[in-house]
Amino acid sequence: MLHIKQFSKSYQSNHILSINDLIITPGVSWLKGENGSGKTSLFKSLAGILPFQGDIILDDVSLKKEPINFRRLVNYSEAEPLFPEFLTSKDLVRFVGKTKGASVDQQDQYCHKLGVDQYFTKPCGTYSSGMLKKLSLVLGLLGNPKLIILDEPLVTLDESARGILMKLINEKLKDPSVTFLLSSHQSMDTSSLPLQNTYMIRNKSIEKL
Amino acid sequence: MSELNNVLQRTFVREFYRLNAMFFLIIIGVAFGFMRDTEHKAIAAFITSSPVWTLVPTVLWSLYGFKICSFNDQVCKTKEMNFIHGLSLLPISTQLLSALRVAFNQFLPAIAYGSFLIATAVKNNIISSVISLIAVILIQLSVITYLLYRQIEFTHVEARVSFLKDWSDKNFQKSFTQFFTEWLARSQPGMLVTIKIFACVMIFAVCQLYRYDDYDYRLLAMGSLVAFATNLVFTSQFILFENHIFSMMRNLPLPMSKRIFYFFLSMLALCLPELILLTRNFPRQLHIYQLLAIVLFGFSIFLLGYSALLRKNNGLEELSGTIFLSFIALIILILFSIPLLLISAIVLLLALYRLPKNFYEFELLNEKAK
Repeated sequence: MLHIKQFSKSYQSNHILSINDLIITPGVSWLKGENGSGKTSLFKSLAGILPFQGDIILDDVSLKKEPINFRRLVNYSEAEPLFPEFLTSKDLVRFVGKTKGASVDQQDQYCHKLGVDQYFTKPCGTYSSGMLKKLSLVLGLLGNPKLIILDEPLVTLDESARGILMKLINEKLKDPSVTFLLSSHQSMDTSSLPLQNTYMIRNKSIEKL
Repeated sequence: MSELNNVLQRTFVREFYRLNAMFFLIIIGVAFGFMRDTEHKAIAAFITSSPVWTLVPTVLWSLYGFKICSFNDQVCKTKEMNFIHGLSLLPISTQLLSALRVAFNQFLPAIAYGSFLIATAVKNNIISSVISLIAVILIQLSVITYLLYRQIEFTHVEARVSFLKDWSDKNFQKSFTQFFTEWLARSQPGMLVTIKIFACVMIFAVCQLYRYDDYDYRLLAMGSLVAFATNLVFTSQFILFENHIFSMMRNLPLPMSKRIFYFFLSMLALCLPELILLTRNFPRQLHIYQLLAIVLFGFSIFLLGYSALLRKNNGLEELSGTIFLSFIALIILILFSIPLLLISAIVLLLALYRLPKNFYEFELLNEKAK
């Protein structure tokens, strides 16, 4: 269970988002909001990438008090992933996989399913945006996370990759303690994804729909 | 046209000086902190005494020109600078004039020193040196201008992978240290080469002084301080890499000890030339333990720099005053013969005290994330 307490995010004097108290239960939750509403800032804060005021607790592990344990439980896949151009998928998957505690078998399995294995040893600078997205999704699924944040997971993915991603999400959801937090401008196909909750970010705050 | 020049000045010139603030600060510190005007005049008179000696500034200006060209090349390759390609629609004369304005402002420190040398040569009536210096400056300025013009014209180039890179990617796997050092070498080759040459020359020159006179460890400690302080620029690049280029690093469950280990390993890889030079030329009259103390001293400075730069909104420019004061304070401590190990221990403790808090609270502001 994800508990966001007294959350406030600002960039210098520009206040972006406040969440007084929010509990997100395991399953798939969809976060909606206009461009610039603060979705990505919230996601990056949840992933420990951006600092914020307040606290975030996941399965009794506080991001502020146990930053390392918390990061072990949270994976994040960016909306528009960018990696250093000279690095290969192999470099990134092996490095991130090791730190996230993912076995080489698991790493290879996700790479194979999403088709990343076809360009595994090629540098990222030669990838299309769809290939970068697939790599980012593989990195977002590695290990045994309890919270998986996928920012715009469907953007730039082809139809077959979308289907594979839905299957992978459903596989992960077999563990009842796993939470998926997704944002998408496209409408979600609820027949392939058991959508639990939908949230809307507007006027610098969040509300459940 | 003024809007166009304004954009070019902000993206090429201002950014160049901002990113190299530390480099210029050290040059200014060395040139004006330790040398008097009579010494400057004596050096200028010596350099201009014969066109052969003008090769010395020519080499240094070439390195500086290389640094400028690599910076411009990198700027042109970034995605956010794609708009610059539109400049090719303007008349060639306008493009060249705009490139010249940028090159002139970037090359200004060399032009200023060149003017001082030319004035000295004119005063001493050595016409051959005057002609040689003017020719060198004009050629270098033309080369930088032309290369910038070409870089703006041909922004989009096909991504090619060399056979060697392809082979190494297939057979080896990179560590995080390689992630960072390779990124630095690819994105800032000019800065990397210039700093390495400067730091190595500094260490080598100081070590050579011990052959002609009897000094204690303090001279080498001060020389090493200058050399290591120059490398602080890499600390700021490490932060940029960790927080923007490869921001995923912040999401990884790495203990602080491991993050410090990666940082030290990266700095060790980058400072390998200085360390080899220091070991090979280490003065015989000093005890070997002084070598270890100097290396530890250097790495304690890196960690303090890393911790200080991670404080909210701190960049090298914001910290330049503090860095300069710390530099003077460390020089004074060395001059008062405070043991290097003691200074290193205090500096390390200061760095480690704030590091975890600074790291988790750090946020790279957008204007710095370039």
